[in-house]
Amino acid sequence: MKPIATTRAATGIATGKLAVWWVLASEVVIFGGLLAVYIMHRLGHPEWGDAAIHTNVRLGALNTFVLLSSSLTAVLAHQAAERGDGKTAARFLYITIGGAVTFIGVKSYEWWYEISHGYTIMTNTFWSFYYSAAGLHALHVIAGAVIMAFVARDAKRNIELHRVELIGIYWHFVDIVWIFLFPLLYIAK
Amino acid sequence: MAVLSKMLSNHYVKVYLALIGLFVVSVAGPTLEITWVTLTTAFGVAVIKAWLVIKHFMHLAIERPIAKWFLAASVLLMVLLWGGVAPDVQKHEGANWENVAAKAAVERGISEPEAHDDEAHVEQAVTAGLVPTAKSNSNLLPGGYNFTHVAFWSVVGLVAVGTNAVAIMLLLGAGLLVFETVKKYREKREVSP
Repeated sequence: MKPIATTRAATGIATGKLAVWWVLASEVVIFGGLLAVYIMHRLGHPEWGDAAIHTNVRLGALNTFVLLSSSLTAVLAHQAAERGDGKTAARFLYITIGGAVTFIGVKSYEWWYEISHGYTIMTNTFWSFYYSAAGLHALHVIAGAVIMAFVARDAKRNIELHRVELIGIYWHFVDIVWIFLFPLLYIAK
Repeated sequence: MAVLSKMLSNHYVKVYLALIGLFVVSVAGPTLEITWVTLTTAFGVAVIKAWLVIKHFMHLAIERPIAKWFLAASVLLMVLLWGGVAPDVQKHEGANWENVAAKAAVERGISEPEAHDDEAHVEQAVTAGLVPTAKSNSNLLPGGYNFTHVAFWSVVGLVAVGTNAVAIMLLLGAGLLVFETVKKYREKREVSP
């Protein structure tokens, strides 16, 4: 019989979940390092405030709302998976993917608008950070949505339901990163 | 009505509503344009929101200690980075040094704010590629690096993502192997007198 999840002997934690926490630990350094360097420069360069004025707070806020809502559907999917209800879990995961698609759509419009108005990655250091941080985050959103689609496909057939929690943990991390990016890039003028 | 009532009684929905309430505060607070209110509502609330997500959605509170250790190690690395780099980057002068280039960049940025005329910049936006502009070339920051050059960020990205991720994963993996080996050795010793 194929095991659903092998638990590590020493840590008492399922291998899959251990791997997810492992990945998130490295992500903390990647995003944390990027944001830490941004904050250091932001504090040392008050003129960046003039550039930050041009970021669209409304669209940033809309995307924050979308990601927070998608986190709820991700955790509701986990709750359904815990009950063994794969179909409901899959439905919630598909709604979460819808959130990811909305996020990327809003972000694409935002970038198109900014680039067409001359605010590119080359404009100045603030915009360089803006596109690097938001772009790296957007890549994580896309990756999460793709993986979620595979997990949802299996969950619909009540297969590998433990993976619903794993992708959920990753998705909540993506949400947390945006929780910090939003005030840093959009609110702080 | 019963469905709505059932939904609202769900613990996760309650946490979500709290998050939305905090989100509204984080957007509304900075509109007052008072520095301490902005800092509290935007960044203070962000910390509370992140904590709510970590505790209630990611269930870190009831997770095995090793997950917490993983994250704690990463946060510690970030704090070390900040402590080591901030004195040179965040400040532009010290007891025996002065960063003339950074000071000049600040002055230039304040005295010559970017005039963004749509038509004038559309062409620049379209042609923006790997070749830096004269302006981005002049915008040198501490250390002589051109932070606006896309090639710089490509290198930083490769170094950050590649080196950090691989190094941390290998380190944690090696630690885990040692941990499990020691545990198995102890179990073996307990079994055989």
